[in-house]
Amino acid sequence: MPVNGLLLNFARGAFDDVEILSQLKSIEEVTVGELVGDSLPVVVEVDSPQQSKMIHRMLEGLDNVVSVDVIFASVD
Amino acid sequence: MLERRDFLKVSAMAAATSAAAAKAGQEHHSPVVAGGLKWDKAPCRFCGTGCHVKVGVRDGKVEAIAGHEGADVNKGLLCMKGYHVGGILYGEDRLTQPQLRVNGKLENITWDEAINIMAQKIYDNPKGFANYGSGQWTVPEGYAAQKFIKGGLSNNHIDPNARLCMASAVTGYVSTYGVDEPAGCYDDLDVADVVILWGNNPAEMHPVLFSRIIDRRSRGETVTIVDIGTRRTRSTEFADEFMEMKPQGDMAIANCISHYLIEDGSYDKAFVEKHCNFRIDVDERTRDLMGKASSFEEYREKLKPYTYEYVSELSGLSVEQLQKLVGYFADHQLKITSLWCMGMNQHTRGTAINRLVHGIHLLSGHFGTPGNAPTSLTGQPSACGTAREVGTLCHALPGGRLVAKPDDRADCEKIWKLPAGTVNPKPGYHTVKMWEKFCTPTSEGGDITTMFVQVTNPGQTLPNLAKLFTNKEALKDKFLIVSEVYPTATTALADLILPAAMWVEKNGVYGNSERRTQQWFKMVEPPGEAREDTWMTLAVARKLYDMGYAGMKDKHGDFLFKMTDEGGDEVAVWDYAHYHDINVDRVLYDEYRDFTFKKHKDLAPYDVLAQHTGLRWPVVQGDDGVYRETKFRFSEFSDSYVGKGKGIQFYHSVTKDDKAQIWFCPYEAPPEVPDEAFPMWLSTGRVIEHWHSGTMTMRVKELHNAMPSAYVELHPDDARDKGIGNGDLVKVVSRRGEMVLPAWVNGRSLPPQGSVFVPFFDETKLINEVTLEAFCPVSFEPDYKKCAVRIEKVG
Ligand code: SF4
Repeated sequence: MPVNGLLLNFARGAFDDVEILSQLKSIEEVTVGELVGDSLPVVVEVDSPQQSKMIHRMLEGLDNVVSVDVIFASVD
Repeated sequence: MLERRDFLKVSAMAAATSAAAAKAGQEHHSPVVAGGLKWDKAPCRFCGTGCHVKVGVRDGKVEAIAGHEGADVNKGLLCMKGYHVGGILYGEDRLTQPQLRVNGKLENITWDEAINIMAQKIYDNPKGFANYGSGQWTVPEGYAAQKFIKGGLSNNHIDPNARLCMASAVTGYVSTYGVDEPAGCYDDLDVADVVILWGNNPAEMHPVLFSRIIDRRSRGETVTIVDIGTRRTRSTEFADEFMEMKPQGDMAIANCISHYLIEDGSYDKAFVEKHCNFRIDVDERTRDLMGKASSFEEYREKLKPYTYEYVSELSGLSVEQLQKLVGYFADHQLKITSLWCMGMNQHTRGTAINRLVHGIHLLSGHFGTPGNAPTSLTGQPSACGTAREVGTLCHALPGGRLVAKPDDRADCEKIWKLPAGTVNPKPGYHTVKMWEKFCTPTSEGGDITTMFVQVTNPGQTLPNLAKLFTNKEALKDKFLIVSEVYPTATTALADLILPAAMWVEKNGVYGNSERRTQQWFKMVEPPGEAREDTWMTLAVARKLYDMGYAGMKDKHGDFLFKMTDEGGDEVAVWDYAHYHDINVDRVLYDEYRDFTFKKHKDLAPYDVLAQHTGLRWPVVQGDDGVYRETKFRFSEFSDSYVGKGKGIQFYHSVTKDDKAQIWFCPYEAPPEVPDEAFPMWLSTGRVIEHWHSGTMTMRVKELHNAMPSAYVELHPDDARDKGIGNGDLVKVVSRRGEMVLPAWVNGRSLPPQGSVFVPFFDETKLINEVTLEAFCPVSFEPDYKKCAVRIEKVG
């Protein structure tokens, strides 16, 4: 049952909060934090490593996201 | 009270927010988390980058891992291995009980029995005992092993697996600067204009370090990455220029750059005159560490054959590519950092290519200012700290000392309180020799009869396994003792298995690739009967002492490892019931620290280190009592050991004149090249998901699932010619052995036509049955990167 803390890193000044937030809110497993600089902290709560990987890929594919860093991982 | 999942979520958000703040350069605070998760710091267990993690523990179990946002190395980030590091403790098949092989079967025994057996073996034949360790030994573990072998047994047969990965870097640094380890540090990567990867794939091997470079681009900075390699890798995807070279072409390329820097007059004349001498091998057959003095004129003359055209032929680089490289180094405004790891070190002329790359930086003056540095990286978390600094190599003593030097031996005998003459002046066996002697019948000169392996997996990682490892199986008079955390290819042949504590199940100290020493405290209990490797060494030493073995007594008749509590009373640290009565790591580390000053590798005291996420040596105490690290060694603006007004001072110069040595070393062909019978090159290496032999990472399901098995990667044209498709089984055959693996075409990397790549992490597909054990004559490091093979489709 992985719980991961991630950072979505946006291109400089490219975080479009309305657009991104609505995209993120549509992903049930994701809890969104508050933007700091060009990075948005999020928590992903999933049932399996496979699902975790899938969501990671989805987040990487979001508009203006240049990279996704994993900051925290639970040990199951 | 928060439920486990809730507080994990709170912790995850706090950690991510904290890392975002660190990234944005804002003030940040460590996450304060409710729910009973206790956080402490530790370096990552894996690569030599040395990221710092925060380990979240609840109810005696590691429950969460977060990047340490206060750590200079990684600023809160981790790679995929790092954030799964907690999982390595909890594989289902942890070894939890000492086991003895009786009539071919492993039987559980007690620790007392195990220590008695081991001590008896050593007592019966101390000269035939060898200790094979690693760059994963903690500093105190390596130091205890070093003192036991060199001080207690006086036989010098101790070597780390680091011999297989960075011994050539050591000989390169020592023969150039008179002292080991990089002058620069990771800060160079924050400001370099050009980063040259010499046969290096940091995107997979040192991912956090690589993203430190790449992140600069997302901040709008320009950094040019030049990838000189024998195959395209993930690093190539980020490179501005990929220069595909023929195996061993690096030596010719390096000489070509130096040649044109001189002929075009673009070398840094002032720097060379002030800070450099020239050096050369004694003669074509005598390759030793220090060679003999040469001159600028001789150097220039020797470089003359390395024209663009000739080197293009030898190396496979185009003339334009070679000119580009010369152009970078000729530009004195550019800041250039060279990075390398196994590509240059696992090389039959590993010492030579290391020297040549240092030589280019010195010749061009790209040295000693931030961004200008030749920097080798290490694969293991403490290859620098334990193998190189503690000196757990067969010829070395702690703190950069050598067994061959009388003064160095005397220093050890003084600190260890041993009678003069105790330390043996003759180097012991280096790794390949040690295993050759162990796997050769005693009657035929195989004089190593008992081998103690700690924290490494030679049954998978030695080259030419049949000769250097598997042969042991038929030799009944050889005894293999293995301290391990999981069953491995090595424990498969072990006669005695000792279950070990790992990572945060014990106290530890590691030293990473940039001279940074990092400390951590034990956070959870090891499973079952698993115990610390340091304790194993102390317990065997004490058993020998009790048996009357003279070497385990100091000159006052006290136990070699006598330790006392604050009241001055001796603590029975050899008895596990009392091992934790004092902090044994602190005692050993602070004793070892006395060795570090002679070569200006000064370490901070243990208690100071414990307050930091690592400090880079030399760590010097100021008049205000504060200990300060050194970022740029030999440079006056940073290194307090450089004399006033000197600018740059190589204060351990081989020639004792504060100068570094620029070496000439000729290009040489590899020891085995493809021919009619074996027409292809084989290179071996690692993958991002797994760390080295996979003992730990293959037990973490996320990492295992991401890369479950080894493969052979080949060029699509070669695959098409042989009718091989993705997933087809392919036999890789060399003169030494063969291995069947599934093919991967258009996979992660792209080997050029006529070559294949196989990773070595998979114990079910031991590619080292195929590799060659030929080694560098100076560093004795084998070449895993090039040998001749043929491939056959199976079925
Ligand atoms: S880069 Fe190396 S030290 Fe850092 S998290 Fe990854 S494996 Fe660990």
